[in-house]
Amino acid sequence: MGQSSDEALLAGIALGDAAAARDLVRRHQQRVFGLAVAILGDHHAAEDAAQEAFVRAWRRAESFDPRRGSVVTWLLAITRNTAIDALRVRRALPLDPQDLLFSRFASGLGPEDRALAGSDVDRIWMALLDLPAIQRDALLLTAYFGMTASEVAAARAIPLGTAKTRIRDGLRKLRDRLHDEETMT
Amino acid sequence: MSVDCDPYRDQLPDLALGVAASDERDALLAHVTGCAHCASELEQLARVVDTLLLAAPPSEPPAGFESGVLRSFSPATTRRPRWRVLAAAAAFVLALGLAAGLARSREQVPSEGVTAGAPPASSEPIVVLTGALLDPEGRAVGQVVAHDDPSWLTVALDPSAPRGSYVVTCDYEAGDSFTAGSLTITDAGPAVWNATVPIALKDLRRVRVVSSRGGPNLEAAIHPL
Repeated sequence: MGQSSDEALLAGIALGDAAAARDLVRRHQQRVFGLAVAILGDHHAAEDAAQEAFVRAWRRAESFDPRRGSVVTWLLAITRNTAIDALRVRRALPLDPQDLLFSRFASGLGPEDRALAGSDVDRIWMALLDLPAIQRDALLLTAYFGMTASEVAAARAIPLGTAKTRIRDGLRKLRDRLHDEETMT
Repeated sequence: MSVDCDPYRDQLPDLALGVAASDERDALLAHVTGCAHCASELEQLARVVDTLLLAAPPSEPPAGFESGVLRSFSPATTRRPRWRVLAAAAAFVLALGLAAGLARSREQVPSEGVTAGAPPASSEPIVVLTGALLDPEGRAVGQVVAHDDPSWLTVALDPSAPRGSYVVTCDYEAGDSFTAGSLTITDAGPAVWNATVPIALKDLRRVRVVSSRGGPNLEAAIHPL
């Protein structure tokens, strides 16, 4: 089973295959838990959220559509939503989004990162570093913490229109940068 | 891209990030449905948002995490997080309060064979089932609470629940289904939809909130509270 694709494991989970569930958890638990920690800033709450994310993924395994993206990005989107739900209950933003950036480089690349090095993870971080800091900050607040433009405006004491512009311009620039790199490689 | 796209194109990142205001979201979705250019751009932006999540540093979960998750794969032993239990309990209490208010007003609102009404006062043990109402992306947009014998069903909706008209359908363990009623979510609410139903809910396994107009469907897997 170790060689099975994520899609095959997910299909097995939809059919109630416990071994497929175990393999998918082993393959992605560090990434799921890491994202939950990044959003919640608390290992205990992150453990709850990460577990809930896997359960939600299991319940919705049949609805996964490979045309819309990979299993890991789908799983991480579920993790983000689950962690944001928990965050709203706590009503506290534990981290400055720039901390994500610093912890990233402080921890260096792990084995799983190295497997992706030169592809997704490095490219995303290089593209993020290319953004103006104020756009990166607004984009991370929205993409990771689910904050609306109004909430970003309040958190950063800036006009609503400015917050919207930073978020929208940040995402478009990131898309353009990633697209340029794909074109070059 | 046409001139018609101008008012919408600027807002596509909001939709991709899932933070578009509800009134803007409906108009954006309607436009994107009929505009291949904007649909393509939205797909690109949404993929970037998904990819962005890969940038979070992986972290080793605590010992026992894997076995804990795998225990959760068995519905009989699902361990729900404390905050989810609290949310379910809050929805339950809210439903009781609303239903009690309805009982006092003695109002009965017919709706496709379903009536809004009160859970009964009873000394029997209360059988309560619940489940998080999830959108297609797995985002919780509400909570379903069901009380059995006699049976009533409550859907507590978060402010983020997508606006639209829906049919509420109950799926049972044996594979049969029952339409519990219709529900329209607007900016004005409802925060809670409540109905009594004429058949037992103890074998209820899933509640589907199906869009009448092709919008996102919502779904809750049901388990004991």
